[in-house]
Amino acid sequence: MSVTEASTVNKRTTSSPTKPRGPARRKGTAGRANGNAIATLSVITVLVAWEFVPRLLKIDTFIFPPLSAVLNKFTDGATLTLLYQHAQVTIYEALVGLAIGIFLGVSVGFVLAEWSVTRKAVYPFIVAFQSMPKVALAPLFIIWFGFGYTPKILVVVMLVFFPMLVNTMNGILSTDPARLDLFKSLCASRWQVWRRLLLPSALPSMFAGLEVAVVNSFIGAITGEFVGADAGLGVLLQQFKNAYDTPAVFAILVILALVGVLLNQSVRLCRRRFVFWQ
Amino acid sequence: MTERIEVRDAEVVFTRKGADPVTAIHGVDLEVEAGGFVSIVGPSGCGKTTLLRAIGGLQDLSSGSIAVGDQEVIGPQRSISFMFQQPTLLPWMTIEQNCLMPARLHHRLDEQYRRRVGALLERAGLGTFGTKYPKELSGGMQQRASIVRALGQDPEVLLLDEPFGALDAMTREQMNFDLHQMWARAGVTTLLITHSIPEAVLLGERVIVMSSRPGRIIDDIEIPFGRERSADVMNDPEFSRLTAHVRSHFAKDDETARVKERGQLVRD
Repeated sequence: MSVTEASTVNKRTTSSPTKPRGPARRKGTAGRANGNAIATLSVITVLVAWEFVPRLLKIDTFIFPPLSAVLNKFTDGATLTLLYQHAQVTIYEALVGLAIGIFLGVSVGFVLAEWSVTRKAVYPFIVAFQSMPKVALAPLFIIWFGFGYTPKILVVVMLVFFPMLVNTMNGILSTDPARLDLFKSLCASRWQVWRRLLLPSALPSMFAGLEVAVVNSFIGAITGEFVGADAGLGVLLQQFKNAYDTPAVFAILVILALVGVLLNQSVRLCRRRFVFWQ
Repeated sequence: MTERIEVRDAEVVFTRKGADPVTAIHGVDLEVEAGGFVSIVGPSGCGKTTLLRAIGGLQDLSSGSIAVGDQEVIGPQRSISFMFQQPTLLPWMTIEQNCLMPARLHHRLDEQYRRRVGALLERAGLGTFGTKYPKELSGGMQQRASIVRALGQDPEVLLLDEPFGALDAMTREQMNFDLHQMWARAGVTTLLITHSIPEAVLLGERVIVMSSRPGRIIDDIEIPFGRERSADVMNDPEFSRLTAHVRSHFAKDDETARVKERGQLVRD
């Protein structure tokens, strides 16, 4: 055992000093700038193609509208007001559910990581819930709580709770045993172990969970609205679909994509700030 | 200030569900005088790490007793500093913060402690690296920072578990002399576990040889080079004689034992 351990350590430690730091870093930023340029170029290409390919192939606007037809929806006052009002509802549901789900997921994750008895008791239920498509609960929530915000927020909470719970718990449980030994040998109190070792160790995993949770929050809100609601982008999507207003449907998809990118980038920014050592 | 270590008839048996119990160490008697430096060598899996962990209070004994000073070891103690195979620095703290962490945990971080750590960092050649993060340092520098963290606590006993195993030969030799110097100055009772026979002879006032499965002590050799040692020691004919003597214990391990061990590794 100690032989294999030593060899992996060896690999890690000998590779780091041989890496020429200065040039590597310069190459890194150059690579990133290059990557940004490629990404920008690719986005522009796709947008241009979106505008002209449907026209060239004479595809019906009802099937696949060109970009300009979608953008026109944002300049139309009445549609814009509709989009704005309903987007507010969906974003509200998603963010409130996200906040509650993160709080609950992280708290329960801490509890389950600390007390193995509770972990063993609760684990079968976690597995059962994990393998179930949680959006299937939406109709039940509508029966229980009606057509307001509550059932949608609950669906979001369900979808956010589990990735946060599992990633928090696993992050804490996979703390480097050598570091745990170090804290033990230093006679650290349980509170000190949590604050100075377990929490920081779990942060990368928690952020990985958060990235999933952010995406899931909008899946939850939209699905909840599909099942039964009087407001929200999910409702608006169905109304536009029933009116065969495909450009407006695309407009909603654009909004959802933009909000998604915005949230995802904020999470990444936070990760880089709080998990600066990775 | 420094304490002696006394191990009496120590035995550690690991029981795992669905597997036969494994006796890691058996009938180990060991005395280390206060301020002494003892090296322990043995094949992998001979329980030397288990013995060290038991002395450090990280591993319970199945039977027997261990005392550090007048106190029986029943758990980790602040007066004992442990240094592990890996540097185990926390990546979210700077080198200085890492070295000061023990004091922070013990609520005894004062100007004196800071000065001592500062001086140790300086002596370890890390004077200008205090504000760097571990990943910005090479493996050897990280391990040196980890020595500083251990010595900064001003311990009475220093337990070193193959601290230099992951280093390249050049860095390793340098670190050997650094460690020896720090020990000679601090006078702390030190136990070093190592795979390297020359390292054991070079640093120890005594070399303990352990055999595997179950781990027990099969030889205890005085190393008569005194407290001040330099690289010249390695050119001394006595040095070759002593390393050869230690090595003779392992040459007896026949091929079957080695094959058995390899099989164990694969199964692990």
